[in-house]
Amino acid sequence: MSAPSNNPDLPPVNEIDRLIHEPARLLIMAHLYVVEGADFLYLMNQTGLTFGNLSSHMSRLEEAGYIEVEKTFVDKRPNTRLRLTEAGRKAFNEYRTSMKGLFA
Amino acid sequence: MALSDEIDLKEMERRALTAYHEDGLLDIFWGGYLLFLGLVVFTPMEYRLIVVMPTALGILLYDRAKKRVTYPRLGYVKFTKEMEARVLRDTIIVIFVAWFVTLAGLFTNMGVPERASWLVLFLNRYNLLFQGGVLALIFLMLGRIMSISRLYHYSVISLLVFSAGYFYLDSPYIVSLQNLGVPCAIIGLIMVGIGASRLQRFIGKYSKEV
Repeated sequence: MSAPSNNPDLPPVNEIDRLIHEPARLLIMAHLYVVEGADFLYLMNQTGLTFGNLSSHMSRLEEAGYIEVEKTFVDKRPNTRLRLTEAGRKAFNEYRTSMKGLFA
Repeated sequence: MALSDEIDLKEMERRALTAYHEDGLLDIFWGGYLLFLGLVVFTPMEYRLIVVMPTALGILLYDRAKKRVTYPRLGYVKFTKEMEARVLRDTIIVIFVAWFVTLAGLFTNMGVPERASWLVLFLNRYNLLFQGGVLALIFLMLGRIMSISRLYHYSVISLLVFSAGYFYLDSPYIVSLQNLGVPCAIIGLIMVGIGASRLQRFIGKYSKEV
């Protein structure tokens, strides 16, 4: 495979956020982008990811500061709520812009 | 699904709203309310004021049902303030306009003067069809606002039931509340039935979180 081209006319592929670019994480980010917040179960149902998969991607996104995870109790049962942080929202917007630029 | 489809945010927002109402609870509560409205007109006048009660009680029960049935199965989602405000604003406008139009329609039955305008005479003549049209329009608008396609079906059902009422009720031209009550109760019953069936499917599809 050849190295990325240095041609200035081509869109900068290297600038694409790889953390978001992974399909499962992209799904999580997109789902959280259109709502204010959601819990773990809702995301599992909407994305179709398994518990373990969602959990590991959630940790990656939390480490990057893109999502905020809040563990609470609802009716004495543990509940994990997620929401996009400002940084996450900005990163997702930038990702969308760069993807649009890439295929424009 | 293609990547470009996945980041169609408008579609995702619509899907989030649709999923939230997949449980059929909305149909059961709205249908139940219509059924109640339809039946309450057959009670003596002094009891009709109780129609205000189930409005408040219904909202309370709906909220409890969501917490007990939907959230443990589908999960919890909080929509953006902009989206909630938009849905609330549009719904209030639709309901306000609908009430205004319905009342205007009903007033045309409280005695039509001899030299009434053609519109008043028209509304008087086809009042039941007019009320059905208003209800159909409400469902149509709410379906669009809330992104729930089955409300379009209720819109068609409303038109059909009220049209049938116009042709089959004893005196469709003199619209009494009783004449309005029968189609309302029928539509309510249909909605409750569809809602119950949806709820059963929803419970089967999503197991309760352990």
